[in-house]
Amino acid sequence: MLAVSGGWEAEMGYLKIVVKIPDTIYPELVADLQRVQLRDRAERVRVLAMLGLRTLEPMQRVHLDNNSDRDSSCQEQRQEQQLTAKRMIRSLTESL
Amino acid sequence: MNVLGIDIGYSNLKLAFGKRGTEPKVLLKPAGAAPVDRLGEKIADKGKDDFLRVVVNGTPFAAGLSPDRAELWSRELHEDYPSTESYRALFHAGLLLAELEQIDLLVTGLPVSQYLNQELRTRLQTQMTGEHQVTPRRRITVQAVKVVPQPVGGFVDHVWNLKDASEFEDSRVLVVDPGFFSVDWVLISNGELRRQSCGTSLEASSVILDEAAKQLANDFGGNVGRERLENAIRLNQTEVRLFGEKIDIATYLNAASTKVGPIVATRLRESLRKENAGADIVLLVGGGAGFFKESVKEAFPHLKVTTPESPVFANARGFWRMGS
Repeated sequence: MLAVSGGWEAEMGYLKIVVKIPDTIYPELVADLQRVQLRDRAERVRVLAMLGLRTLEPMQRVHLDNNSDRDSSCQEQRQEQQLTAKRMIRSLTESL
Repeated sequence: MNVLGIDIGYSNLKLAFGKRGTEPKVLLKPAGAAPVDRLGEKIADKGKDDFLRVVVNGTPFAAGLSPDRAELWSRELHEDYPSTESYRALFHAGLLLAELEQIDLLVTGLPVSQYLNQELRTRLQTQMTGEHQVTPRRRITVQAVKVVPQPVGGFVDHVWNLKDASEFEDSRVLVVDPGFFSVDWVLISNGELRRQSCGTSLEASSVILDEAAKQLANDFGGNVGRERLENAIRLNQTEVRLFGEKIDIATYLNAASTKVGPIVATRLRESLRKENAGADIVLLVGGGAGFFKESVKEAFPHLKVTTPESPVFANARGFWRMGS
């Protein structure tokens, strides 16, 4: 029972989602949707979801930036390790 | 800048080659070499050779074949190996295999006892420098040559591949390089070679193979010979055939290692007595590393004994790294 338990189904070019929004968990969202006419509620949910995504995007960017920072930090660490190895190899080669 | 690391052993010819700033290609060939007219007719007439044809002082040589394939041409197993024609043939084969028109720097190794002899070191350096007629139509020039103690190559290769080289920077590392003819070792302390604690023992892989062949003969009544055991190991085979019967050689190799390994381990311990402090780490490199690992572990029970990946290539890779 999609309407009761929540669920989604995919059709040609779009997703159809029936979603249950309990007012105990999302009181602000329920209050917002109640101010809108019944037939406009789906559009309201789409708008709110898009706004939510925009909020998430910078966080994702930060997450990606963090990963790239970690990669460059690993690269720097490897370069430093190679510098130590190079220094040892050069010193040994010159001493022979 | 073209760099070639070449390790001309008694059992295998190992190469690491390529331009500075890149990663080297590595290659291994059996270290057999003989004048072409000493090869069995069937082998020499085969359309497809698995060895290289080179010239040494105008004489055609086959190089890079199993050491037991030549007839009436004895294998060179002595300290003056670098001055022999077989060695030169393998050197020419190495130059050919490196696929470089000109080699700007060639780095090679000598057993420690020979490296410590300035005259032998200079002789090899002079021999390898200059233009070489490697085939009737091919000349290859070597601009400069550096000769180092063999085990140092293995040390350099290991240090380069470490996640944290600083562990080795202030450690005393005993590098043991069991080869076919000799087992060499050096002590590297704080990145410098400790000449007084370096050494060579002739109780090497060839002695282990001889001992294993002797024990096999006692049990099965025939001599398989050192070279057949050597070939089997090179080809990762665990059995040899004798009088029609397949014999598992692992037991015999282990028994022989247990007998010969401790002799070398004792020499190693004696060698380190001259030092105020012992070693911190033992690094086992070279093709015979597997034969000596247990004995070395028993000799130094409190030390970490490390073996690099593909230890047979360790010296050649390290030589290349030193040149690049």
